Order: sequence, then structure tokens, then C-alpha cells
Amino acid sequence: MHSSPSSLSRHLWGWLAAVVLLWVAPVQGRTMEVKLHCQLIWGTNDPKPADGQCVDVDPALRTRLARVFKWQNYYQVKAVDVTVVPGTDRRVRLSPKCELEFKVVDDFTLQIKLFGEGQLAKTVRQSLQALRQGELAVLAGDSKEKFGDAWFVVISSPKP
Amino acid sequence: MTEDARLKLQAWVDGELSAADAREVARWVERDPEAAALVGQLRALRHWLAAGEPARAVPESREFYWAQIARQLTPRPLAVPDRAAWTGWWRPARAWLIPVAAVLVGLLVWWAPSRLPAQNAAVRPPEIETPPTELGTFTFRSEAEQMTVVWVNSY
Repeated sequence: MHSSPSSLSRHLWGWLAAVVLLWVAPVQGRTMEVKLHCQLIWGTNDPKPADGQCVDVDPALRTRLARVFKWQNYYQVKAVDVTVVPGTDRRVRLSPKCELEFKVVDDFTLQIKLFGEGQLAKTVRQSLQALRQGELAVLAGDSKEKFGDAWFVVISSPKP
Repeated sequence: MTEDARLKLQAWVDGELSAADAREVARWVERDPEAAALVGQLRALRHWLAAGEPARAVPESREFYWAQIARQLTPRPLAVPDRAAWTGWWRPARAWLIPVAAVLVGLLVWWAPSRLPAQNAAVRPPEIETPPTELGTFTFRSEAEQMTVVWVNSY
């Protein structure tokens, strides 16, 4: 039995739709690499030192931090863009004393390990979905160098 | 007198019986006074109906009435939608229906999860371990600033 051209066309479209679905579904299910923006920030109420080692943080970020914490000035010590490939650990050194290690646990979860002076200080898990929607993951603590100041590690999803 | 007998007399008066039946009924009427009386009434009724019914003239002709009846009896074709016009736009649209639906489903699968509300930060506890005993931490989240903070205290 011969199929009419319209019937052939309809079947062709059906197969095309199936191919599209089979192509889209695994792509969605596959864990994608994760891009992160990491900043080591010094929080203080003092003016910026003149040594030029720090730069002002983005005003929007400064405003967000100042609304939560008591410090009014936030200076970026170092910023690193990181790409974390699923299945591998990605270690980043922000300062001689501060390191981070990232791991994509699953499609929704990022594991962050904070190392202080080479020792594991804290492991946190953060929602990747929240990061992509603007959430900031902040690890912070009191500064040992200067009483009353604080350090911040701010992890965010880089702006497109 | 039975009903059948009365009907038979009526048929005889109207001339609807066969010759043999008519002769038999005639003999019966001659013998039976009750039958003869009924026949007399039927003949008088027949006479007065024929003579007394007024002739009524209707304004429309016979053909006019019949034309209306014939119009009602004639089956009319049902109102069939213009299939050619309907399929004119639907046939090419139907050819695109499946691929368009597939593309929409694909986009939905791709796009929808990223648009879900960011509840995971609250649902999933971000803190899972604190190895060194000399360190203490506490976690809080600022909903207004969309910020999850883990504060590390060293003692």
C-alpha cells in the first residue's frame, strides 16, 4: 500500500518531533558545568588603604552586604572566575590563607569547602538554582589581622 | 343489535357491500323492524349531510395548498459547512502542529526548571559539617538580600 504525500509528511514530522524530544531531554538531564565568581572581600569601617592592593566592590554588592552586616566599607582583595566541571573537584586559592574547593554534587547542589591555612574549616552546600537566580553564598569571619574587621568570601553566579 | 350488525347496515346504506351481501341485508331489513328503523335513520342522515353541508370557498387554490404540503414533504438538504474553506487553513496548520508542539515542549523542559522559585536555599540546609573543634559556625539567610551566610568563628 502506498502512502499519500500528506501522510508521509505527517509521519516525517512525527519522527522529527520524537528526535527533538530525545535530543532535548538528555541535554536537560545532563549536569552542566557551573561558572562561579568568587571574591575575597575585606569588610571594615575604615577608609581604603593606599597600598592599592584592594579595590572597591561593586556598589550593588556593597549595598547588599552593608544591609546585612555592620561594616560600611567593603574592599575586594581578590576575585576569581571559576568553572566547575561535574565529577571533578575544583580548588581555588584566594589568598595564602584562604582556599576554596568546589564540587558539583548533582544538578541542583554545589558543595563548597573552605580551607583556612590549609585546614578544612567548613563544608557548605548551596543551591545552584538559587545561585543562578542571584543568591549570594557568603562565607565570612572575623579578621585575625585587625580587630573589628571581617573577611568575606562571596560566591555568586557571574552575570551574563 | 351488535356493533358489527350496525356497521354492516351502514355499509349497505352506503352501497359498499357485494351483491350477495346486499341481498342478504335487504332480506334482513325486511324481516327486522329494528334494522329497518336504523336504516331509515341512516338514510335520513345521509340525505341531510348531502343537502345541508354549506359550500365553503377558500381564497387559495387547491394547487396553492398542495404546493405547501409538497414543500414540507420534500427533504431539504442539510446545512453542511463549507468543508473546503475549513480545511483550507487547517490542513497546512495541522502539518505544523506536531513540530510546533515538540518545540514548545522542548523549550518548556529546558526553560521551566530555571524559572521555579528558589526555595532550595531554604529547603536544603547548606551546612553539613564543621571538622575543626576550635571553629564554630552559624548560618543565617537574608531573604531580602538573597544571601546565605556562614559565619566562621575561631576561638
